[in-house]
Amino acid sequence: MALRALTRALGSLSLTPPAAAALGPGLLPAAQVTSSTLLQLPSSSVLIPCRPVLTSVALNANVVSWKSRTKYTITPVKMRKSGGRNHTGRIQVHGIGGGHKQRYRMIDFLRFRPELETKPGPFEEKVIMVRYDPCRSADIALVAGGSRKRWIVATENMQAGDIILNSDHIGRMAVAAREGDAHPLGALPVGTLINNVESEPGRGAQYIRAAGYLFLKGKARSGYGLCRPVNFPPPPRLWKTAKWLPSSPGTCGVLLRKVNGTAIIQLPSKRQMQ
Amino acid sequence: MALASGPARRALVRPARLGLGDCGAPARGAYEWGVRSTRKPEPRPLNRVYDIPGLEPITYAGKMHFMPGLARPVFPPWDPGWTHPKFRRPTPVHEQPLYKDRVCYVFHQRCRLLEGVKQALWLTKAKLIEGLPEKVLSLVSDPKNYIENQDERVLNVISHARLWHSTEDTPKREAYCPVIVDSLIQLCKSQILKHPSLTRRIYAKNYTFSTTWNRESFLLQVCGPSGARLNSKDPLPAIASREEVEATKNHILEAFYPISPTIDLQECNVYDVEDNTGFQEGYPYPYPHTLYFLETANLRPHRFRPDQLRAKMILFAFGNALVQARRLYGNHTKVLEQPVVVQSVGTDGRVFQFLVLQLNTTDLASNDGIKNLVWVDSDQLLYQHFWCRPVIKKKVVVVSPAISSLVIRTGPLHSFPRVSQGWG
Repeated sequence: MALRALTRALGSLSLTPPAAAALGPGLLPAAQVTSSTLLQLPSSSVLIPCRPVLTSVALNANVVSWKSRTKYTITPVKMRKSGGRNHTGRIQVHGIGGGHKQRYRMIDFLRFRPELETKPGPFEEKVIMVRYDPCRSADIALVAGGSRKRWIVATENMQAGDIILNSDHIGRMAVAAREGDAHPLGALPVGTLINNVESEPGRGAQYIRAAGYLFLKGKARSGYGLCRPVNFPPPPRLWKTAKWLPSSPGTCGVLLRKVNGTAIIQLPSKRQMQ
Repeated sequence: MALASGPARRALVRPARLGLGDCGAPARGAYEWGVRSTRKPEPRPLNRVYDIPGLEPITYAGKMHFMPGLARPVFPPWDPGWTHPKFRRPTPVHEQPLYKDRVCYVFHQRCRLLEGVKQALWLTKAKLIEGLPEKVLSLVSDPKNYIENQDERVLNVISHARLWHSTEDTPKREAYCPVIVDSLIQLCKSQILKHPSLTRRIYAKNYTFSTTWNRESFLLQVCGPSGARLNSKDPLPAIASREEVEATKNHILEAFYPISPTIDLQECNVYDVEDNTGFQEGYPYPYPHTLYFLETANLRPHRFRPDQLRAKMILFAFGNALVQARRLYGNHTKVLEQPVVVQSVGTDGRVFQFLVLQLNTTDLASNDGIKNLVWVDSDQLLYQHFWCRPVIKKKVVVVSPAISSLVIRTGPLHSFPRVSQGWG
């Protein structure tokens, strides 16, 4: 309001009577200028000509995503925070923003990704180190197999030096799954706690990736399943819940049953998927 | 086929691999890195007319404008006839003169091996022995090899490097590390009057060498510009006796399944198989004596860890020894009658690693037979800590920088000047 009056006053200096104009705007103190022109403020029906002043500016929508890297690497990559803004530059989700600067470590969610096309079978990898990841609630593990290193989501009791198995093979008997191994859901016994589940083979894990809060800090729970149809009818004993089901799964998925060629998992939100 | 990519395409091509009967590729593949706007756009697919063999497609190239029924012409890439030196494009990898189909795994100065010393020993077919050999240790304890006022002179060297030679309050590692090494070598050179054989050695910096060898179906190469090397006119005598060398036949190299031994090595298709010693034929000091490796980066993540530094030392010492052996005894793989010995010292300004490598055989393709020997003396502190700034409590100087809390450890540390002198 005062600014508008001031700008109007400055703009209308040329219209004041010659006595005031002769003194010039530089000689008169500013207060006297405003007071003299305020007395002459005309009624609101008459438009006072004034210089156009821009008091607002449009949002810049040149937002390019920071995700420009096409090649996989294990070195941390610099990232830009969005602050809840979308590609137009406006806030789409409130409450996001601030926080410590983070670097993104590229996580490979497709566990069964053989290094070479020429060797397609199940393969083993060794855990090099387990460390904190600022971008997610779970810790991440650097695993190496063949000549390749990659980051994966670490399970609860994963330690440096462990050997983990990634397999796509479904046999007649259910596999005695160890913690950290990746198997198709058809190969896992009913009642296994699983995480990092993908809805179709080859899609990459999209479900149950966060850390379980019930147990030791920062790690998700055992087993990793690929959800796929089971080839052969499962033997009858698999229809029973496994006796070694540990207590209260927390935020893990549980393999409930295998029906009709599909496996049904209960997600931590009690929803079921297959 | 063009729509699916990555794992989805692989799944389409080989559904049997996934062990499924009727389920094919997933609706969407696994996450692919890079936002679509930053990915390179795929080239437009050619008209299917071009796929018919023997037929020449009719295009609108002659008409000089688009015509709906005709195929899109494919023009050869334009060749301007001259290249501007600023915009010269490098020749594609396949057309470079040294391109070979077989992949070569190259080790250079910035390679950090994942498995460290274990991997270096496998690559060089060597057996590790902790501690320096007795011949070197006897030199350490020999009183006539002592330098007069040794402790005081070393203290002066450290204070000079860490505090005096620079105008900054706290000189950085890039400043003090080379100064310490050069000063200690100068200290050794001061013993020329007592040991005239030291005149038969010379210091060389920034030499480039390369050597290649086969190791169980992998082609390995050590190459690149190296740091400092002490050359001498006479070779170092063998350390281990014939019996010890024969005893290495029973030693089994450690495997590290599931990690491949070529992890962290640079894969390269363009390489030169010829050996290169780094020095010309008539060089008066042809035999390598000691290599020096400095870790001068200021930040700890940029420096090599001690394990990685020792692995680098092993590989470069082995490379130098192999080049020397091939120069002396020819390119044929065989067990050496006169083993080649090379020493190596690595440091980051405070912690020293000493290494002696004896090359017994150039038959490296198989895992059996005689192995090479490596003696490693790791993590020797020259001093515990150095306070550059005085510690002042209640306006009283408690610890002054000149004296500082240096702890010069006795023993193998004193061998540094003597390791550089070598024996002979």
